[in-house]
This record gives sequence, structure tokens and C-alpha cells, in this order.
Amino acid sequence: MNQPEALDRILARLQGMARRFGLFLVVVCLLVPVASLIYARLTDQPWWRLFRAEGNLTNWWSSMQLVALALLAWANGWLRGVMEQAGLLATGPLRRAWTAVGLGFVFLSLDESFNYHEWLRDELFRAQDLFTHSRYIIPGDVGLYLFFLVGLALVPFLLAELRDRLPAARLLIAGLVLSVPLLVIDSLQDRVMRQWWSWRFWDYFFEEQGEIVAELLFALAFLVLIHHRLGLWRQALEKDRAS
Amino acid sequence: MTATDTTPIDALPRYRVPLRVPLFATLTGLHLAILQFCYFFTLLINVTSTYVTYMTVVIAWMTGTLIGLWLPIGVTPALVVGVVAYYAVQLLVASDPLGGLVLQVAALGVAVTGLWAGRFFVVLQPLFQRADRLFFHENNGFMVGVLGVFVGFTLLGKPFLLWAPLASLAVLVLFYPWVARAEPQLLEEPATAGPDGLTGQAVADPGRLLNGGWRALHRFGWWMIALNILVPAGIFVQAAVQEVGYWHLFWGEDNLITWFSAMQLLLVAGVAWLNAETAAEARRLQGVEAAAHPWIWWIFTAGFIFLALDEQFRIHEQVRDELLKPNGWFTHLHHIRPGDVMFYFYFIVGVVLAVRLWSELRRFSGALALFGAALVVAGAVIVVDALPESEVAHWPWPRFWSSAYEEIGENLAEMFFLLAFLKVLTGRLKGMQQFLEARDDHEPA
Repeated sequence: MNQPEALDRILARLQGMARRFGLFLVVVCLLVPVASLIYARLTDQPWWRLFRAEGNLTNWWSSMQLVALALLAWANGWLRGVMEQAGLLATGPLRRAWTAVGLGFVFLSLDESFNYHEWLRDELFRAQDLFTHSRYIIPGDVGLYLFFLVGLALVPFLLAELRDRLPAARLLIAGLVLSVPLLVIDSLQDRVMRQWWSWRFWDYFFEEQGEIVAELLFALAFLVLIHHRLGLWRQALEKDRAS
Repeated sequence: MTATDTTPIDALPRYRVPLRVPLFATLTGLHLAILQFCYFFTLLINVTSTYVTYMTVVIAWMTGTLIGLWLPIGVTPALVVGVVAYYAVQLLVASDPLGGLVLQVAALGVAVTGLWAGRFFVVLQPLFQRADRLFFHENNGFMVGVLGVFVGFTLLGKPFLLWAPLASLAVLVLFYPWVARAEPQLLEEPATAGPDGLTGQAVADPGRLLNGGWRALHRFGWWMIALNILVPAGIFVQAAVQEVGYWHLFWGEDNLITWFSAMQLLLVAGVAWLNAETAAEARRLQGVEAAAHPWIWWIFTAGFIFLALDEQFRIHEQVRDELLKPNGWFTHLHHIRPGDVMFYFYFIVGVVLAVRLWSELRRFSGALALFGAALVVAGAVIVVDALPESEVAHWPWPRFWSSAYEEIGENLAEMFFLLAFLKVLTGRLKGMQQFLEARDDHEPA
């Protein structure tokens, strides 16, 4: 086997790994609510209790999946760097921006477990009487909105990267769109929430499960981009070999 | 065409672009005026009517415009993100009018909206050849937009602020594909990369990929060592700052160190999976003798995922309390709390399976030593963790042994497992690189 053939095989292996990892994430995201509901049934608990408290399976997996997203961002930055060195992609600032995306997801993962946004609410916003006069939003509970706005600043960069592959861009946008109602529900006052039909479903299940699905959409977007770029490399390799 | 902005316009040949292109510039000017003045009125109504509002909008807009000149963002994303930012600010001021930080956050939204104002010139200027031509068309739209906002807001009030930006966005987004069909260069990557992101000659050298891979993993290992020092150190500092006993921050299940431990266990599982994949590839490339069968790595992957779940959800404690204690199993052992044997069980299973890893670990310098260190630390932690509290209470610093020692020890053991697995992975990638470099590029398969 000569070097181009070996490289083609390695790239095909990496593409397979991206597919398998994506499948793994999809399966876990399906299993987590199913396992929680089965556990609730087995232990004779109301189903919503398994989604309400912090530290539940859904919450934990959400935090871990955010770390996985950070690693996928890092992997994208690494692959971009290697492809830039190989002359397959234009050099530019985009590689470093992936690091910022990765750090952002690490922060969100910590927030998912340790609720820094609630600390901001109690220690900063409420203490300073900021954002405390809304009829709908829990007084001062705007930390996640701020995180979201900061995240939006990175969206143009991500779209610039993902525009090479339209399905990846669509997955990213779907994740963003899904995040908006989750943010709103998370910050709504109980008084408002409890007027909704089947409010426990929306407040506990939809919010927690929606977070996982939004993260999954982001992860799949990143994996699709990795898969696509490896495919471009293989195509370029094929052309190189043919010539 | 080498015209510059100082060339008299009548000295230039007539530029030939379809009418839809200057119309797009005019509509963009209209859209930007609507957004800018809708921001202005929104903040004027909800925050303050002093000069600060106008200055904030102008400065934030100019900042966004400057950033937009350099940011390689596509046309549609820039338009959409700008309007999303506008509605986010609307939501913000509606939920908390007169809030203390509203103006600052709104400035961020204005800057995001201003991105397209900068990007617009980068994208369209080449079509018009001179900036003044582009400014002319854009400014016509802007003037109409300024008048339109004043008239619309006077007649319709707040609903105008709510719907006008969405309507102008819809017009532009629908109009843009028609423009892009006339001028395909608008569809091209705004950065230097060409279609599909490919710019240069493909390099058929696997060494670059493998070399980059093992170097990145090597750096990752150092990062994990640093984190394993920083996380417990940070907890001790936090305890000192908050003037609480450090053991409070190590006890319980929802603390930072437990989260870090579970995360690290999943990382070990991830590296074991990477080893499974590379072992399979090495066997294909270099032959069966190059790596053990990947199945052993798959088992370690599953095992460490299970340990991560156990770390978070205390499965071993549930087995102890729900199964072992009620049935009187392993409840009368010396130096072990009643039924607290699950970690011993995990450890024995791990050691038995590790025998099958032996051939893998001894191939790569340092991997076996790191794996051995992991087993020693894990064994020491398990012994102390399972001791009855009455025994540990007689030791010096009993709280240290029952809190910090256990948690830090767990993390150290996981780190050694991670480093051992990384040694195998980086070593195998280096081996594959050397193997392929030693071969002639044109050697037939």
C-alpha cells in the first residue's frame, strides 16, 4: 500500500468515526428520557420528578454532552489547522475562533451543572435591582439570555464555516431556534408557567429534553462539517492520484 | 479595470450591472435605516430619551460596521443575525424596561445588527468598482428609510417598531437570490477560500495528519495534568476565601470535583475508543502483529462509561443498600463497611481485563508504568473508601482521608489511566507514521 492509499484509508476511518460518534450521541439522547421514564415507573415516582431536580440523568448528560461539543469544536479547529497546512483550506482567523467556541461550551457545561446563571441572578441582578421588574420573567433571571447573546456573536463565524455544507448550517440554525423557547421557559415565573396546559411537561420534560436535543443538533452540525471536510480531502486526493 | 476612488466618475467607462444590483443596494440602505431608527425609538421609549441613547446607538452601530468589514460572514446570515439581535433587544426592553443594564446589552445587539452594514460594502463594492457609486444607491435607500420610519412610527406607533424590520428583512432575503443569480460572485466564499473551501493542491502525505494528530493528543495530555492540579487547588483556595472547611467542598455529589471526575472518566472512555479505532486501522495497514484485537479497547470504553455513571449516580451505593445489605452479603468483613465491596469488585474485573491489555501497553514506552500507577492509586483509594468510619476517625486529619484524599485520589487514578491510554494512542500514531514514511510513495498495493 502506498502513502496516498494509506491516507485515503485513514481519512475514511475518520469519517466512519464521525458517523459512529454521531450515532452514539443520537442513541444516548433517545435512551436518556426512556431510561428516566422507566426508572420512574419502576420506583413508583411521578415521571416529572425525574426531570425536575438538578443532578438528574438528563441534566448530567446535558453537561457531559456540552463537554463533548467543546471537544468537537476543538477537533474542528484541529482539522482546519491540518488542512490549512496541507494547502486544502485558506489560512485565516477561523481556526482560533473554534477555540473560543470550545471554551464557550465548557462554560455552558459548568453552568449546566453549577447554575452560574442563578448565582448571577441572586448575587448580581437581584442585589443591584437589575432586570427585576418584568411581569413574566423571574426577577433578575436573565443570565442565560446574556450567555445566548454572547453566543450569537459567534454564530456568524460558525455559519461562515458551516456554509460549505448546507445540512450542517441547517442543523446549527435548528439548534439555535430550539434554544429560544427553552431560554424563555427557563426564565418564566412559576405563576405564568402554571397557567399553561400540562405545565409540568413544558417546565420539566420539554426544557430538559429540549436542551439535550439542541446540543445534539449542534454536535451533529460539527460532525457533519468534519465528515464533509474529510470527504473533500479524499476527493482532492483522488484527483491528485488521477493526475 | 484599475480605477481608484480618486478617478473622476465621468472618466470611467459605464459600469454594467443589472438593475437589480443597485436596487439591492438601495433596499439594503432602506433596511439599515429602518433597523437603526427602530433601535433608536425603542430605546428612547423604554430606557432614556437623553443624548446617551443616540450616542449609544451610533457608536455601537459603527463598531459593528467596523467589525463587519473584517468578519467573513455570508449575506443571508448577516441579515438574519442582525434582525434576530434587534428582536432580542425588543424582548429585553419589554421584559425589563428602565433596567440598569438594558442600554449596555442593547448596544451589543446594535453592534451585531451593524455587522451587515460593514459586510455589505465588502461584498458589493467590487461590483460597483467605486465606493461612491455604491454609497449613492445605498444612501438613497437610507434616506427613504429615515423618512419612512418617522412617518410609519407617527402613524402606527409601536407596532411599526415591531413589524417593519421583519418586513424589510423578508424583502431583502427574498430579493437576494435573484441578485445573486445575476452576479454569481456574490455567492462565493467571502474569505480567500474557493468553492467547497478548497484552495490549494491536495497533499497526499499521511504524515501531516498523523503527526498533527499525535502532537495534539500530546498537548491534550498536558492540559489534563494541569487541570488535575488546578481543580483541587482551586477548591482549597475557594474554601480559604469563603472561610469554610475544605471537606465541605469535597463531600456530596454535586460538587466540582465529582463533575470533573465523571467528565474525566468519559474522556478515558473516549480515548479507549480512539485506541479501538486506531488498533483496527493499524492491523489493516501494518498487519495483525501491529496491535491487539480492538475488542479489548471496546470493553474498556464501556467500562469507563459505566464508571462515569457510577461516579455521578452512586450505583455502587444503591447495590450495597438495596441488594447486599438486605441479603447479608459481604456484611461481616474486617476493615470494610457492611456491603461496601462494589469498588473491590470493579477493581478485580478491571485487573483481570488488564491482563489482555498487557501486550498493548508494553509496546509503548511509559504506558505500562502509567497504567501500573493508576492501579496503585485506585487500589489505595478503594481501601480507604471502604474502611468503616470508626477506623478512619482514629487517624490524624480524619476529614482529609474521608473527603479530599478520596476525591483527589480518584481523579489522579483516572488521570493516570488517561495518560496511559494516550501513550498507546500517540505511540501507535507515531508508529503508523514511521511505517508509512519508510515505504516508497509509489509502491503498489
